[in-house]
Amino acid sequence: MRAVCFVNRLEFEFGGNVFRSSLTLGDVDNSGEMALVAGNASGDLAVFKGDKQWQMINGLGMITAVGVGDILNIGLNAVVVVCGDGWCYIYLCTPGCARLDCVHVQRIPANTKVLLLGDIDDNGQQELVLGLTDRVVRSYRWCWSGAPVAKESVLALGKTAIEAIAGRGALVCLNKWEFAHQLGAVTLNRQADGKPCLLVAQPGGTFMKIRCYKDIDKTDPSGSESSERSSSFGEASVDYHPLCINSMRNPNVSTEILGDIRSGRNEKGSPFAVATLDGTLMLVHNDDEILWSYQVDHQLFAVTKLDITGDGYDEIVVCSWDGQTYILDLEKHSVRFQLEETVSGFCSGKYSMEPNCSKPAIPVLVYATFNDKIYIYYDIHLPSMLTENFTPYLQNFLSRLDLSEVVKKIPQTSDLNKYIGELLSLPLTKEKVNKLTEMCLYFRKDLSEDVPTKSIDG
Amino acid sequence: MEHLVDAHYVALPSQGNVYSLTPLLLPTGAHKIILATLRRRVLSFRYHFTNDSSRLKPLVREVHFTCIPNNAEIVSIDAFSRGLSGQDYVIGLTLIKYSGESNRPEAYLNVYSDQESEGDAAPHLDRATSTDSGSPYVAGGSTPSLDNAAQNCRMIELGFVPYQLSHTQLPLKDENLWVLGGGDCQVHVFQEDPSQNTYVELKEEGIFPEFAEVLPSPPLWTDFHYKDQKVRLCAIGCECGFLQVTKTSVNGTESEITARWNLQLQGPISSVRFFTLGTEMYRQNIPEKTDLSLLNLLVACATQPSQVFMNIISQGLANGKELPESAGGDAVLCGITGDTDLDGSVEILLGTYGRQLLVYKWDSSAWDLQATRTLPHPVHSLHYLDVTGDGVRELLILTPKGLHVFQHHLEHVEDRIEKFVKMMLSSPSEKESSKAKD
Repeated sequence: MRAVCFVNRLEFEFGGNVFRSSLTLGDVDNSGEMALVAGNASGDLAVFKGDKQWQMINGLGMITAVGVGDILNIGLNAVVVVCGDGWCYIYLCTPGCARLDCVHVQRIPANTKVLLLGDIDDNGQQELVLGLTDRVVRSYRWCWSGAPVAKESVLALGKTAIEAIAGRGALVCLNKWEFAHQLGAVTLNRQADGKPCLLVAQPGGTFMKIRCYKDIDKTDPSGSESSERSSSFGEASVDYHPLCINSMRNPNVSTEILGDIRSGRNEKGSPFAVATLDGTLMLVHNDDEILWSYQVDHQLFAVTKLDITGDGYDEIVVCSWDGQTYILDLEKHSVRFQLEETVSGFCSGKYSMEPNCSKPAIPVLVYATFNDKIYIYYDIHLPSMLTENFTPYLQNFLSRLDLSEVVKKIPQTSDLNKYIGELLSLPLTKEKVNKLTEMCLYFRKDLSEDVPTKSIDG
Repeated sequence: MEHLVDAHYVALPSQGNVYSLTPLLLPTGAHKIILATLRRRVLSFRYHFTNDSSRLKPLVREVHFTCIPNNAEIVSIDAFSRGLSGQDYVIGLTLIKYSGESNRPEAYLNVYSDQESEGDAAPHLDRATSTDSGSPYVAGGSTPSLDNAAQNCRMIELGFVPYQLSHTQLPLKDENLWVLGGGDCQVHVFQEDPSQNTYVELKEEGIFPEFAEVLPSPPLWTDFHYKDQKVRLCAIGCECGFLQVTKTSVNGTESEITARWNLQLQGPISSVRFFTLGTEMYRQNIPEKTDLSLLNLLVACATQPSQVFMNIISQGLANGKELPESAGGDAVLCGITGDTDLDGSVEILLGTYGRQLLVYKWDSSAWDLQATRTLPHPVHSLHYLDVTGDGVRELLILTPKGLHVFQHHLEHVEDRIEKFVKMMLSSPSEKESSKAKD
């Protein structure tokens, strides 16, 4: 199996335990630049931009999950910080103010484990989904008390926008789902009908699918009033998908799930990845169809997606507690990278290396280690997941040439050229093609003949 | 350097040293890499490739060499292939063994070769047919000849601490000799004695008069360059900074030193390499035409700036050109030359203990630092050779933790070839005139 060794990295000192979900990449200040947000168990929230720490907020309690998204539904990204003891903070970076300010604090049920920001009910608005260690998933939406604050007024108010928003709204709980088993990750996935559904990982490589919108196919017998009610508060259908529970090595092993993977397929709906702590990674399509499954000997605890090859499709990046990272494309070609430290949190995504310049954000892998360090590996672009050699390229190149014409044109003046002519004679064997490549690249006497003779005078 | 892509990484079970990587030329034209580690484990790495597919699969496996005692450490390794099929591999390992009673370590040179296949055509035929018919060896990741050789050991006890192990051809004969630097400040040469089925040290000064004198300190690196089997250049870099370059005219078993240059530098000399600027020296297939007057010498120094002695035959060691910033980082542990950017002229690559790879380019009067690259660990050894079996070379970098394989971006290679072919076809008259100038 192919392995690589990424070298170039940024290193940040960030003490305290970083929970798995309290590490994320996002545009925190609405500048188009991607920053890293990390929270730890002692209540410190750090924002990193470029090679610097951009802001540090202390005293928040045990941060268990962070997210970056437009939770206020005003067209501006905010940072949502959820603490294990049941406090939820929303931070906003107002225009002209290069730091995050708290706009909202709210008491919510304790024991949050995972956080998801996304449009779960296909109404165009962002919802907050929290998974708790109590086997409960709740969804929230920001509701304004009174007239909503528009993006324009926030931009116009500038620094005073914080006061304008504070106290003007709250997160309202829309749904509560209870599960039979401990939950893993929560993710959104686009179905074949183009609508999103919520996937909640359950032990043993299984998952629950939740659809939070009214099913059009089913006619509602109870009349228009309740249908109106269900559209505003969400009507959900929950399906359990055992997937391959019978073939799992351990039906109780904890599971991660990740949806909305960009694939090159022309089908509607996205495939999603399911990973278990005992080392199985599966790519699943259409709810139950396992496209492939991949076994490793490491405890996979985080599944992310990232376009490393730059071809417009996502690669799946999975990480284990001991730092072993696997990058797989959707054709199951794999590349391995070992971080030689134990990992407490992992995420991947785009990051802006140089703030205040127009360079686009580049793909990075982010590790929070148990040694109080955060590493951002930024030089990770791979042109291809497969290693190829040059032979097919050269054969393709030669097929575009008329070889007998080429041989005639080469002057038979030197031994080198005679040798090249000999190699070009048909039939072309693999050995000849290899020799030819070597000659053209490394024995180009005629190209550089004059250089050394000139240099003798020194 | 930006066109070199991370192709593979082989993690090592324990660290090696500057002498612990050797390439081995396979009959396919690709190289297999043999890696020794101090803790007695030897790994081999190669790519498995099929004719119908260009996909390469890296294969790493352990080679179990016999006759390596439990408390021994592998110092250096070298290998070459011989025989008509090119599948008769000979591997040399030097070991140091610390025995409990005395403080003096015991040292050995172990030579491994498949004795049964020597001079016997039948096994080769077998191998050829079975390789064609779907390759039973491929699954194991190794050709059996290497495994067979690893079980056939001839142990030679050494009276000195071994340093670099290399090999050179016996003039006018198709026979390789082991060249081993010793802690007794001498370079030793070992030749196979088929009648005794062992290797014996070549003591007569007839063949290698340049090794007759005792050096001021142990030789760390020795490099040879042959011209038409008649003239041999030999450079030796020592631990104390002593550099000796000799030009020897070779005539059968009688050799005579025709020129000798000595220079005392400061600090250990980690590597010496002969090279020419424009073209490759080591031509295996076309008549050797390297003009000796174009020969330069790279001297990698651990503490001082590394130097290049241009046109060493005409200018000797008088006109050293320092490589800028080569002493700035940390000790330079290794240096190679090669056309790593495929522009037709060679670059100098130095690897430092400070995790840096330094790339230098000649600008017709001085060597300029062109690029640097940081690696995760100190650079022990550098090689630039073909492991993918396509004629394009790869850059191999050995660190204490593992072996990096960097491959050229294939579209870049195609672009270079296209340019070269266009140039070949467009201006034949120009070229003829340039040829006439020679």
